[in-house]
Amino acid sequence: MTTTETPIRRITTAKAMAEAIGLEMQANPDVFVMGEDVGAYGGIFGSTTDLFGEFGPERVLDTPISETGFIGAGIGAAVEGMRPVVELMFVDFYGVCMDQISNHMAKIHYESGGAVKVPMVLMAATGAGYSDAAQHSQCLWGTFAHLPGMKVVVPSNPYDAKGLMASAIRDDNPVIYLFHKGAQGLVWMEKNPRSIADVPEEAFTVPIGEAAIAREGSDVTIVTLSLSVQHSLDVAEQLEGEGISVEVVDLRSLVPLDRQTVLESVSKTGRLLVVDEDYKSFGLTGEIAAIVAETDPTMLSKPVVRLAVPDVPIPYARSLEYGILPTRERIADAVKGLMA
Amino acid sequence: MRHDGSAAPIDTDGPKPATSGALAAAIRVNDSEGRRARGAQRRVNETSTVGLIANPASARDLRRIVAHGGAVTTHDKLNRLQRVLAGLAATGVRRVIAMPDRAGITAGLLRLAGAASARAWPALEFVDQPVTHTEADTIGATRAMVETGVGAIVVLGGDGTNRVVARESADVPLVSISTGTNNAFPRPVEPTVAGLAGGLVARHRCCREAGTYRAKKLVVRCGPDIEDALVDVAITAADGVGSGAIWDANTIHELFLTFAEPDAIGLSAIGAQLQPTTRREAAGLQLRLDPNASTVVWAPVGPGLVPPVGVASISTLAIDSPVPVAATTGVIAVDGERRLRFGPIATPTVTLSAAGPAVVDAAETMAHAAANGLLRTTSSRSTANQTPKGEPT
Amino acid sequence: MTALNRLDLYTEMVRIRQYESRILQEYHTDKAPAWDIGAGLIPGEMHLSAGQEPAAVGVCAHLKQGDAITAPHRPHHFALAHGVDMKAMTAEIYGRTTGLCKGKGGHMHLFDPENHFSCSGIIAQGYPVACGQALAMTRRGTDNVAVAVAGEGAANQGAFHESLNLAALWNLPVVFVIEDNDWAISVPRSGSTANTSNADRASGYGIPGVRVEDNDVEAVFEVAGAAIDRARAGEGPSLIEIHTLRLWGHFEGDAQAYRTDLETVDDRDPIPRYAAALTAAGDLTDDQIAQITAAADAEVNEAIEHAIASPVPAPEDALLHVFA
Repeated sequence: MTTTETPIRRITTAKAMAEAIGLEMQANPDVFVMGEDVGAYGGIFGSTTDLFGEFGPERVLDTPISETGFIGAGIGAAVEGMRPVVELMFVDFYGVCMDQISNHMAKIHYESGGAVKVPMVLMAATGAGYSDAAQHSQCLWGTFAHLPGMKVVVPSNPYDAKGLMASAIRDDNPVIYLFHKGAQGLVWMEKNPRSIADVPEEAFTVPIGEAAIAREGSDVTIVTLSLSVQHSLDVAEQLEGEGISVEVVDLRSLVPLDRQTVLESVSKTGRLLVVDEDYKSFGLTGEIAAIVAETDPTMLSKPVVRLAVPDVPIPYARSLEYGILPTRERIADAVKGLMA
Repeated sequence: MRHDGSAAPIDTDGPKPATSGALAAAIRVNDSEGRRARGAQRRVNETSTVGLIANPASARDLRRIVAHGGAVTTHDKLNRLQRVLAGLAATGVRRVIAMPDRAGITAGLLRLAGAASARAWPALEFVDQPVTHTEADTIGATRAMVETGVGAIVVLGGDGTNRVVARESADVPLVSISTGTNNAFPRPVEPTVAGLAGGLVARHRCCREAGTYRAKKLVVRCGPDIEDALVDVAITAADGVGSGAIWDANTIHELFLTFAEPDAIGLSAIGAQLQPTTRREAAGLQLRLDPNASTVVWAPVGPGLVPPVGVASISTLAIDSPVPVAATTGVIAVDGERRLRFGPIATPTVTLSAAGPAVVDAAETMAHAAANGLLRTTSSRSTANQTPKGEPT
Repeated sequence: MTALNRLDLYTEMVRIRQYESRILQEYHTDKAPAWDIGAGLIPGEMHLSAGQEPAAVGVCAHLKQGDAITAPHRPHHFALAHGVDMKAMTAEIYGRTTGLCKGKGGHMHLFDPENHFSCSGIIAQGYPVACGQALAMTRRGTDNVAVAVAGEGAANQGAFHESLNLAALWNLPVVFVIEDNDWAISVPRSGSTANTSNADRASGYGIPGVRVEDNDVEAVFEVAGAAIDRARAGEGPSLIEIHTLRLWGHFEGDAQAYRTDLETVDDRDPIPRYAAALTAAGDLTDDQIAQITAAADAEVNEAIEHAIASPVPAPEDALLHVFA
């Protein structure tokens, strides 16, 4: 994936994000960070680790718990040509600031007939799996992707986290950057080994709008994103021993969506499983299925299977929570079902 | 530019006083004697009635930005009014007639009047007049109170509010509580004490004789326009009336003062550092200011402002002797508020008058009450539920 | 502080009034006989600013290149006073390709990045944006300021309070302007607001709050000048509440049956009042009034002709400008 000559290190997704922000801040004085606990704390989920020490309070601003205020301020700074990276601590908090996000950040460029640009990154932690319950466990990327005017990126691993962050900061559009808490590589949360990986030290980009074939296969296509990519890769390795060849498409971006990669993979395998940790109805899984249906339903040898949160709030008790999440077991069962 | 008095009522919000008769029937929200009021025609001993004027707009002007002027919030004005009412009630005042507004004070009083702690309040009424949020409100309310024959008027505001009340208050004694930006005229007094003093003056002739005095005033005549001032008249080189407030002493050519107390805030402090002049002596001061003058005074001309002020001359101002203004053009400010632009056509004059408002000196009134036992009773029984007998013992 | 030029203030107020009056006329012309809000050359909601000219003119007289304004859904007076091109703005209101936003914004969404002017149809939401603009200005070491404008009804929005806190906390060069026109559509302030003074609310955030009571352009000019100078000097934000006048309805077509002060409205019109004061002081003649009005009418006429002569956007252009 990289041709760098500098040494490869193994770092966490969180560290990779922070590193990308730091490199962009070094390169461009217009880049700055603000959000709740992004300063000395380094971001509750590590997204701004060490930035405060390097750049100080002038460029890494701890904000009041005032999301409408500081996201709006990010928009104001962006329209003046700055490149703010603003953290919404949990994506679940969108409810207190959605007007700034949807009606302002995402619409100003269009409303102005292209006259005003809003080069801003809004990053937020997503995802369940550690009993944080209904208000701190959602993914919601489908919600943002549904509303026009925002790019939406969702990295699944350290390399993409770094490269997508660099691209997001350099992009002239508002970019929603959603990182899964369970994929951050945090020491205080159970993590998949894929959350720590080889990442070049120097700056690089991963293009927004390009999906990745995380693993090639020939029998079944899993289209997924975020932590579910890690689960799907685990399942693919497991099923390889059972003679099932699984191709894993990591969408990486929802807006723009790389339809071509999805279609190419499905046309090759003829079997499509969409795995999503967001709510099932009116969301990503239906969107991917529709793309195939609209293009050529005959490329499918089996009906599409969708595995997502079954339209319930995320419950608290571990048994309940894992009762609705797209776990490895459910993914494996779904793949086997397609092969049956 | 200012449309004092000319503005039509803005009948937009706020509690609406009932309307029957010019004044008598405003809202009666409370009756301190615990009986239901018997309609508008109920006879009231007017010496037990006190007027209440609280300017909702005081302490809101430009000096918050340029001179660290303090904010007295509506909530705090209401707190002070509650203390005033407690003081009034203790002296046996049965009825309070207040100026209505739509900026939160009237609404707040009505809300508070329903509370248990307000049971001892005098009956609270509001002057039945349109609310314009201009000084027309103050003028109209004062007139109505004077016509009703109130025993005293309690004023919450600064120098500007008192100036407007004083134009209409005639012989009715004023009890002034400072809630303005520039407060040379109202002396510092705790509102509860002010309520007691006002109530005593309203109720007792003897207190009035002992504790009130006739203030001086300055009268500015400029063509058809007449303006009064209670403390100071400044002739300034300012370009216009603007937002009213004056804070830059360097634009002032001439200054006329009714009194000059060295511990006062405002323009009178300039004169006070050269020739202190009391509120009660029969003379005022006239100063010529000049930045190049050899005499320089450091005086607190406004909140947070102690600039060097050059004084070219200072002289005593005699009662009833009109003094023409030296400048041919400029703006005249009264009690810190720019009011009139004038040009070469008419030369304004300034006259010191002894016929200012009757003013309650709370300290003297309270001392008189103490000396005469007005706020104590001699019964051996518990006095918890009594009000003072209120007659000299 | 900017020098006071009474004739300039008067002229700009007349320019805005003539503009709004003409838009009013054009807006209604082709909606008769049956009222259809979506019909005519100017479709959609229309919130006109007549009566509120003193606020815009008194504030904008102090603004210079690089200073920003975020205006609310009733934006025309601030746009014109801040130097937004009348032709481009009018073309936008007519939904034409030559408009400020190529017909995508309309009258509530006017964007002029050259003049750092924007507005939003969502109540109070321009306040946080102005804070961010001010943040950018300080970060770049300029002495520019951002002015955030909203109505008195907006002061109950969280965005208002969050912005006051943020601006005070970070000492941002923002001037918050509240246009108190007595009515939040049909609800008077006493029906919506526990603390009726926004100057008091400013105190709650430790910033100066001033109320200008009488919709007088010179009073606004002076107070705004002080607040803007203070912001430029790095001394932080201020709030100015201007008691102004909604001369017409909340939007065009509003019958205002709820409005108890209607019959007094014309007497409170700030423009004839200012003209009378200036005339009395010898600063303005009837001839000048006629000239100023005629010049404004000519400019407005030209803008409207330009708008009507401009092309209507192609339907497929709706797909452009989602992303840069």
